[in-house]
Amino acid sequence: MQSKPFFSNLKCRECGRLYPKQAIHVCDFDFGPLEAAYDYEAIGRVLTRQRIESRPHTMWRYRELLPIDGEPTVGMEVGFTPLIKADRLAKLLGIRELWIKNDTVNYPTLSFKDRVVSVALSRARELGFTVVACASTGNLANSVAANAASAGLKSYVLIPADLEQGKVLGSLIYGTQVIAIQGAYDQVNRLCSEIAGKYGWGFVNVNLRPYYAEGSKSMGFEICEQLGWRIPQHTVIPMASGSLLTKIHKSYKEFAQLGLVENTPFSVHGTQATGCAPISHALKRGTDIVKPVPKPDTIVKSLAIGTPADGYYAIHSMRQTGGSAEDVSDEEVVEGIRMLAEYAGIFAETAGGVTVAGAKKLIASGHIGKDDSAVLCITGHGLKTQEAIIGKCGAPRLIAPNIREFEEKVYAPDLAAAAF
Amino acid sequence: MAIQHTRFWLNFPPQLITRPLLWELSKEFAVVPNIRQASVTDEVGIVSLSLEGEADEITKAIAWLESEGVKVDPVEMNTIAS
Ligand SMILES: Cc1ncc(COP(=O)(O)O)c(C=O)c1O
Ligand SMILES: [Zn+2]
Repeated sequence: MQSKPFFSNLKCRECGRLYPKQAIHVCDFDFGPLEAAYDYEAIGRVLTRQRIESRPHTMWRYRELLPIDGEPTVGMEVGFTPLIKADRLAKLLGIRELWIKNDTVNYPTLSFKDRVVSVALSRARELGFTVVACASTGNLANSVAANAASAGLKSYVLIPADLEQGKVLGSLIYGTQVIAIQGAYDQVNRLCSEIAGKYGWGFVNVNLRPYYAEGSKSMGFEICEQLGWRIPQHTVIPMASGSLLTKIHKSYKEFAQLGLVENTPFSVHGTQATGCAPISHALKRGTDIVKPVPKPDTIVKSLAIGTPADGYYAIHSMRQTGGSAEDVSDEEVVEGIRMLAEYAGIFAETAGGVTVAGAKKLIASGHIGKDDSAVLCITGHGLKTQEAIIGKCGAPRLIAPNIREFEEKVYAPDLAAAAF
Repeated sequence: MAIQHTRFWLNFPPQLITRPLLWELSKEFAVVPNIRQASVTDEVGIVSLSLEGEADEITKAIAWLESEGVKVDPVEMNTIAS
């Protein structure tokens, strides 16, 4: 058990005012977002590489740097996904060294959202919530529903009424209360905000957001440890609200500050789909004012956030670290998904396609040096967004059930092709 | 009906930046607007606003702002994640 509170306060990112560790998320004075603050001196006295290495292979091996008071009670098995050296993909993209952080196999719902949800729900329990909720169109809903089910918390998932059946099923199966709201996106969004404030529920990405968001840091911690306790030169990260990118940046700074890794220079780069790229476009224009995208138009639904809450901070993270942003067309996304599958054996959802295709462009343009080393954050499994690639990755060759057909239609042509 | 406080971000397009919209709002509806932060460039005006009033009046006030061309988001901006 922890004796000291390593996690000390919530703190406004704008004015620095301190707040108690409750279910609140914005500063009363300037509406700035609240963020978890820690007693790094106390953490530095107890947290060593050896100590971390002695613990189970989950994201909770870094628990002093996650915003809960006691031991985690929800999602204890989440995280510590593979970091894979992808030599064939490196060659294809034209870079010396390439690593894939593979959160397509995160437990239990196959996306990085299990990290944020496990922190949010563990904290929700500490704060005494018995009902948890979220508004989501996909990955977050699945994760809240599954983790709440295993923890025995009642959960509500609010969705826009026009969501595809497949996505609804991925939440319904866990016995969560799925509420479909009719109306335009903005109206649904505002209603969810109102509901979040009204019934005393733990809304993971609203009143629990300061806790929830910190869960993303674990992806960065794991990357450093799995690289042999060092910060990667380049990290390429998909952006929706921009939260994951800012938290990976924070995780590297924290590890360096605690002396767990050497403070070597690093850059974080962000990628989006061109049909909804408010953060990437702002960075490229050289401003930190993020212009909302009223009607996102892309197959990459998991990144289609037109008013990104952390866009401003993501831009600053990229600027501060000498990083860059890139956006890619839907065709490039499909190509990215295929490259990752064919050259690294990983089937990612559309956000993964954005990251791979974005990295390819950043390497080609020299924003990531070809003699450098990079980590690509692949955040969700491809089985979740099959509609994006159906009909775009070929079809089986059809033959009659006899060996002559196989010889004629498969073996002979393949042999001929191999000869060239 | 109970009085409530609701917090929003307003996004003003360039052509509306010079118009005293929040003054008009307080004349038109039974709500008290309170600006907490604002930044204005020649491209956009962003205002963080708290509105105090009855739920119905707040809903009407927002609908009016939107009909005038202001983008209104809740303080969290996106409560709907993917
Ligand atoms: C698969 C996937 N990758 C990346 C992201 C980006 O998350 P963030 O909102 O932290 O930028 C999301 C967010 O919803 C996601 O679903
Ligand atoms: Zn503040």
